Amino acid sequence: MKPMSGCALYGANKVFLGIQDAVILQHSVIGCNWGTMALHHLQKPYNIRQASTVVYEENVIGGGDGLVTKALKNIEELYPQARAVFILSGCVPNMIGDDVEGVLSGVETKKTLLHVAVPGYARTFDQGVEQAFTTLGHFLRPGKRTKEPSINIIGLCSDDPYVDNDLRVLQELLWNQVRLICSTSRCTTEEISAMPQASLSIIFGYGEGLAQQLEQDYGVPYAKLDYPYGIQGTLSFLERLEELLDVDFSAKKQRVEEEGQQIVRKAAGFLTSLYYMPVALIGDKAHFGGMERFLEDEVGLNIVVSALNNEGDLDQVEAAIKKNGPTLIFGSSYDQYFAEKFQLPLIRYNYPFLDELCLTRDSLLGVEGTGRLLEKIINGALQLPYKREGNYASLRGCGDPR
Amino acid sequence: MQDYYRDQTYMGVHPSAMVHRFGVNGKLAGNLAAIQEVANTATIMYGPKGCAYGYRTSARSRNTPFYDIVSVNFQDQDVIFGAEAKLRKTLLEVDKRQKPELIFILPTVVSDIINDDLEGIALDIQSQVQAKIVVVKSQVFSHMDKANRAKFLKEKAQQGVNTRCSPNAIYPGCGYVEVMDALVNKVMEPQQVQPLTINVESFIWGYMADVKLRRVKELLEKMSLRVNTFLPAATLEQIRTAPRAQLNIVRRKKWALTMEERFGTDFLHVANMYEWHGLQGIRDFYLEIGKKLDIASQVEQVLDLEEARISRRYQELRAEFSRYKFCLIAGGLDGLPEYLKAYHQDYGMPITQVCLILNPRFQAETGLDAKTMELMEQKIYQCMEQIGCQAEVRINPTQEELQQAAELSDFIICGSNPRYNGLGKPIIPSFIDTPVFDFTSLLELMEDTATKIRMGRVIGSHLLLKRLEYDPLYYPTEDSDENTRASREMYSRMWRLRRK
Repeated sequence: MKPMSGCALYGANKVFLGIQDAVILQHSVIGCNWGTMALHHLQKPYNIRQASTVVYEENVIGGGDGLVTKALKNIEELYPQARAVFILSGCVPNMIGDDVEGVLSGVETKKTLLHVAVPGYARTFDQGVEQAFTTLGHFLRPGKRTKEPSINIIGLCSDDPYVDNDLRVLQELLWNQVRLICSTSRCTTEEISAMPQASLSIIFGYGEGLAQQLEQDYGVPYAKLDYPYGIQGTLSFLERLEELLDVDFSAKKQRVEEEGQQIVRKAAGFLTSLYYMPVALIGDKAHFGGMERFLEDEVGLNIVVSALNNEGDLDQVEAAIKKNGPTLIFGSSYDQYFAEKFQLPLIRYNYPFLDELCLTRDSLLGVEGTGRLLEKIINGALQLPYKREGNYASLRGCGDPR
Repeated sequence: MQDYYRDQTYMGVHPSAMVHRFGVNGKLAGNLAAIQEVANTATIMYGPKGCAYGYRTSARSRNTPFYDIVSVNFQDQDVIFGAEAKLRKTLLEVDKRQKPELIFILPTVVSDIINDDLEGIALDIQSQVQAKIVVVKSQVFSHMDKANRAKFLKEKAQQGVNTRCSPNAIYPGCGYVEVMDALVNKVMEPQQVQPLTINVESFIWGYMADVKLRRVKELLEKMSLRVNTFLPAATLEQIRTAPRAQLNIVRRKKWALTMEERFGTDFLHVANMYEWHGLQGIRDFYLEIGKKLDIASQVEQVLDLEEARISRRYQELRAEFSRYKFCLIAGGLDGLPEYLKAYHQDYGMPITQVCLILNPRFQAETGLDAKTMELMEQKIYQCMEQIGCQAEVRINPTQEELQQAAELSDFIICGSNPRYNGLGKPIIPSFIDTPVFDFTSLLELMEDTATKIRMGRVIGSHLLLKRLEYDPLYYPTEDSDENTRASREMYSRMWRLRRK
């Protein structure tokens, strides 16, 4: 099969990258480290906090426990600021039965050491993600509920495209009314500890285990929401928070409506042409639902192929595209595979981004984010080289003069 | 339908339709629409450089700019003394650099006024140039006279509900027709006619046109008919030998008349594709060809086989559609009978409500008289009676009346104006009535429609497009955009309402 997603190691790694004062130690062969880093590196080629034990041939025979000990000793010296180390054990150590827990119990350090067994043959990407989020529960500490309404955002990861800018937009929307305690996409272990102080946890797709722990142990309720793409998406997000947190966002909603009209004013003619056009949507659990709603409800596109990229086979998606004939694809850089095969514009919005940078304050959320998304969609259609030689050029020479 | 959707997305998204609100394009756009289909050409525009620059984004070829236009680049002195020397120099350069088979020389309004003898220059220099030089002659100044449209509408209004019209409106001055006439007069040469061969005009067959014509060719081959060439999607040699064909199938009549006059080639004029819509329309199309080529019974045999192949599925789909009630929202008196026949008769979609949205300026801008307008309206009811459609017709309904019509229906067939999206019923987009000319394509259209019906849900409940208030006539111009509306009005007053 041609996998749409990585394995549990990829999933867990993705989550832990968001913890700024932690190091990820992959107890695995070097390829796992390379692969996970390659998917992350384009967007954030700095502050690299992951390393590998480099399991090798001799370790398959003799065991790799010693590698873990050695690696942790090096981490102690080389990452003095790190407060936590997440040790991810991959396929080989789990196959050969390395006793990582045993090794950790004998290590003297002030850093918090947490082991997550994520062999790719046994666990899926999503399972790795959920396992990692649940592991973060280790850092939760009791605390006094904030006076003002406050939230945790769970489910987003550090290398989700545009995530830092998206978070900034959300914070600007909530400015002065709702405080953000912790977002898993970018936080410290201390901020995780403070999560129990929040009035509410919002889940985007992933992390329900952590949210349940917050609710059961600390009384912090949670709500699963769609990622708020679009004007209506933003308004619905604010309306839901109004219900859950008893705040009034009327003024902000009014501004969103007014500013939204500016975007529509410029795009109306183009949106009319695209109305009801068939499209394909591929995405992860955190972003898929919100994008699906935005494309159908707000843009008026007809989603004829939809696939969550946490499972499934490229060939299945290819067959669906061939059968249903979308004219646009929404997905990740990997979906360029389909875009090239079927000569379709690809609108990149989802992880992983391998061939598109964001160096600015661009977000895909809020009014400007809606504009940015519409730009991508319309420009994608406008710029596709299509029938360049003529509307009927394919018929030239098709005559049969004998 | 995949090809349809691709054309709609990648071509329809270009904004030239919007620009048309404020003025028609000059005929150079039509010239280029024809030229871009011909293989291995070069184009020299005989005028100031602004024309070549502006027409690079030709209205008819929305898919890509037309980069290879060379301008002679008229300056002041050229207007006074003519630019013959420049043209000669440009011809030699273009011929050497691009090595085309054909070089078209296109006049501009400036050259039409100074009236340089382009034909004479071309004749004189031809021996020094490898490519065949074709001078396109201006038939009118600047752009096509709007009288054609009024003529066409009037003739159409007068014809019976089932009559197929080959109107006398032949669009002189349409830039496309000018080029086609030039090809007939300057490039085509007498040939020995090959029986049972057909030329098919490759022009304005709508979206997925290349697929449509390819399938026409395939079906003709089953009838032992061969497509000699498509025109103008052809090479120089194919154009030169086009008079080999026994029959032309055309969308524009003028060049077909020219070819008939020069070479005796008969033609079938598909003036209005909707007249050939549906199962019977497709049959009639090929039977008409068969009659002209004296092989009607042979054609009929093939048609019977083809129809038998799809008949069961066709009837199943009609039976499926017949379970529902459809509200048709349409604009324009002249088109409504065609849409009713397409949906109610051809697809078997029971139209029980009709909402007709009329442009109150239509009569004034087209110059049609009251009698013609009356005939158009009568034709709607005649058509309804003929096809057994007992729909309730509402003309220019209020929002409340629109809502009532929607409530009495299961689906709404309409265009993309978001005004209809809020009526609470699933929408069947009206592009599904696109005419096709083979049974397979007809079935594919109906299957696609069936998929939409089965989906049966309302999408676009918070359409971005609904966030603005639009001018009721000129969607998507905003109601409050006074300057844009003024510009539209200017065009109306300065041209559309102008009478000779």
